[in-house]
Amino acid sequence: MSEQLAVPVALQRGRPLGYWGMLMLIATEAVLFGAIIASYFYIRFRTPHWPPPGVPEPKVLHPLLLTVVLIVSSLPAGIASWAARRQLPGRAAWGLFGTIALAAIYAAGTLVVMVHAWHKVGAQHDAYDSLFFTLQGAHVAHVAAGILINLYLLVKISRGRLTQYRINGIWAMSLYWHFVNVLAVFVLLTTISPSL
Amino acid sequence: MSTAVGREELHRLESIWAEKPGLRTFLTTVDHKKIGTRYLVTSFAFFVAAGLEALSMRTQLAVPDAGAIGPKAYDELFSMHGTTMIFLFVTPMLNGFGNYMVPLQIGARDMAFPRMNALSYWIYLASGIFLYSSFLLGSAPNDGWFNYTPLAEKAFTPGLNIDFYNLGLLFLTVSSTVGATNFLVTIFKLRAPGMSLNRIPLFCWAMAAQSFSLIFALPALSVANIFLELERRFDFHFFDRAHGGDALLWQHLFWIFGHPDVYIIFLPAVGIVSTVVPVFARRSMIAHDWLALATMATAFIGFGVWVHHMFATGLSNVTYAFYSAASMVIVIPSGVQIFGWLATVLKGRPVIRSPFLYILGFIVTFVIGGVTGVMFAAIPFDQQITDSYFVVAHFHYVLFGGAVFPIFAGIHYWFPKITGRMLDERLATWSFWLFFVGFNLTFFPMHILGLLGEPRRVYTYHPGFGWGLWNLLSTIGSFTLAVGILGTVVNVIWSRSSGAAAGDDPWGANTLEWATSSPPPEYNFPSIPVVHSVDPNWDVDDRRDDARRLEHAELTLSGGHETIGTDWLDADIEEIHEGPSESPWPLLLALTLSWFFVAFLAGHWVLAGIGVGLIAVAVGGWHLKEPGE
Amino acid sequence: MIERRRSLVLWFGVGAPPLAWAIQLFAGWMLDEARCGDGGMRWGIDDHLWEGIISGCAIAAAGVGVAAAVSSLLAVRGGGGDARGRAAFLALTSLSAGLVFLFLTILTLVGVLWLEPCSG
Repeated sequence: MSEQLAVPVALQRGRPLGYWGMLMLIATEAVLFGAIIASYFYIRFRTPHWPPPGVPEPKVLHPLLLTVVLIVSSLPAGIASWAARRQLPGRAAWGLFGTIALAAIYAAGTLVVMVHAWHKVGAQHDAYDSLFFTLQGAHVAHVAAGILINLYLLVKISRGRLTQYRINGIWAMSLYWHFVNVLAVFVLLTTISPSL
Repeated sequence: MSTAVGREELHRLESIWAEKPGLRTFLTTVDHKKIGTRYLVTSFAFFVAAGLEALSMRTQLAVPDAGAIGPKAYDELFSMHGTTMIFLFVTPMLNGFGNYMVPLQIGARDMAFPRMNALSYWIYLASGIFLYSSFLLGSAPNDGWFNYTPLAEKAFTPGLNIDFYNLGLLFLTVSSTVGATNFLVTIFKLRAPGMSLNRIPLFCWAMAAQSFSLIFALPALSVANIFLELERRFDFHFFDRAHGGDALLWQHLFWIFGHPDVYIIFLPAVGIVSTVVPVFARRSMIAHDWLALATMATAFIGFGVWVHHMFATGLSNVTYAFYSAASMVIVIPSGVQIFGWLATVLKGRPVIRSPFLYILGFIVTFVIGGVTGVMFAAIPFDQQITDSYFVVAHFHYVLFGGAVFPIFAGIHYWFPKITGRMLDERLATWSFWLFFVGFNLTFFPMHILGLLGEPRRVYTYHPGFGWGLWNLLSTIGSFTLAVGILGTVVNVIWSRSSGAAAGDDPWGANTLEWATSSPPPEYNFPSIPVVHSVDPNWDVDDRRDDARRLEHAELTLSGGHETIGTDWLDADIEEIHEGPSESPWPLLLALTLSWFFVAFLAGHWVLAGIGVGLIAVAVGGWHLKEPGE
Repeated sequence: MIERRRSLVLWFGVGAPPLAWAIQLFAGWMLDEARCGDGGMRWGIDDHLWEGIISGCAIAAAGVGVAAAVSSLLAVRGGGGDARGRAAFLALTSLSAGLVFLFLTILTLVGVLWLEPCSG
């Protein structure tokens, strides 16, 4: 056999396994949100008045602005990943910090919107409200989880070296952020659809 | 002839990969072979539990107005029987074989994520215990394994039964998702050099198809469970008409998962069939490429047929058209597989041993089940026999035939590899015939009962319907089946210690797990095999080259817990992957998840909140120690 | 680069027919739900027209996918440097699968055009 089978010691041609694992997680979470959004429209198609009588139409401006803030956070997330892979810990840390800050603004603002909406009409009122709060809540929960993980990564690289393991982690998390941000567009379009 | 270099490499590999026996290793192992064995043993225990539930039901139904079991208990029995068989037996059992054999068949040293592998087992065990603890509280799930609303809503089933169902399944889903991710990354990134896409063993294709299906199907079930639990606990509305919801939403969400689930079960099982057939036909699988395609095509089309479980719910005919068309066309890839197996057997020189007996049994029973399945695709017929025993007969023929027979084939085929010993052929043959006759005697009469109008899920029936004789025959069959299964259990237990020695390759098989010892060493292969065909273990020259490479310390990867990473299409070498050794975090994370689910079930929101915090801590702890530290 | 183009054609042949069918199914079903549900009835959706359009697009996409698979198969048979037989495997299997999915999209079209919407 004339194949080249020697494995050079520092060979790293492929993407890390965690990258592929993260893609699988993204795929399954995408379907999760797809199912919630499909349920929203399924119920909508069967309901003559949407929102139901007594429920105000959803706000558009605040959620739209907040979503823009979140989408912008893909930029620092991408920078963090790019910098980490080029062994630039300082820039990577700032990228992580920027992502966390913007995402935190989004999360806090969205929670405020949700609390206001809850006080007007709670989730227990009608399927419309239950679907709204479940969809929005699920998305905010994903943002919150991302913030926590990014904080953990930030602490790790601030206190220590930029190891391959941490680089892989930052890379995988940047994928997660891009996913959560794209998802935010779909969540937004769905939740404000009655006002469109 | 071994060289000093070779012996040195072996010694190094042994010391790197050894796991000291004892409690600590038991709780912290990440070895795919140990984890696979645990899946096999645990899932078989659930099989026995669900079997006992079935025997109780059959006893009750043996004669009209039996009075042995009341309706409430009967509801719990059929619900738990179905839930256990589907969620806690078949899929985990097949995953057990997958866990043990996939890394070996692709020439790898472990799964891509060994700690996640351990985690998926511990979560599976915890969720099974969680579900079964419902019996202790007298609140086992009791609305059937598909748990339709509105019956499953709080107004109609106020007890904890359905909360056990929702939370138990959500819990288990974490395990299945983690496992599916692991299999996919393993199969696509860790294959032996030269094992291009067209040389992947059919069992691995099946596990890949199953894993893709799990990734895309499980979320629908999770959303259904989450919606229902939010309704029951916090008075949300999704399924109740009075507040704008729709009961059919549950059915859609459930079956969007539920139909792919039958392929999640079926595909790995027929992966076992595709593994065993060439070995006992003594020839390469005819149309290997087509069978790989059929596996993936079945999984894909399987996502577009779910409404055929709802043909009696009054939806629009145009909607039905989509799913009726797909339900008919999905027969095509299954047909391709059957013809592939038959052609291989007919053009080979079959050797009849116990694994092959179960394959033959599978073909007969699965074809019968498949025939009745196509009948259901015709909506007028479906609407006549919906919810009758005809349905029960059909799905037991396809599930038992299509999954349990192959599982038993797998047990008989792979027992020598896992234990290093052979099962007793005579006992195995007797057990098989009792199993086969018992199965058909149990379930064939159910076709007739269905056509005679007996509904499913009824705890008793009155005399005068003409159902008594068929029910009695069915019950006799079920006890016969149980004796056949018992025979296999006895065989396994006895042969573990007293069976004949198996050697590396007692069957003369074609896949790589037989290229190493029985049982395999901790590191699976001394040097990573290099593959040039679809039947690598029949390529004698290649396997000699593997041994030669060991003697030159080539591809031995003895620098740590290493395995080779290759490109997903052509399996060219890309890099060396370093994996973890024993770790306590999988068990700890599983325990924190258990805390959360138990607290939620009990309605202790503060404790549940603390549980979320503990989960975060466990995830953090998992990533604290990095490879190389 | 020819190799990249060949690769794109190959993967189009693998992915287009199944995706065409999947989108036909999901979009077609959601359209029917909208047309027949209480919420969507007032929107005046012409079921047959839109179902026809969706199915037509699906059949076209599946057809192009099959053509791509044929093209890939011819390229491989013409000696395309496929040492391990992997490209031949993909080309042949995608052609077979493509034909099945094409058939499925046509069968579905027959169903959705023949039957009356919203009756069940």
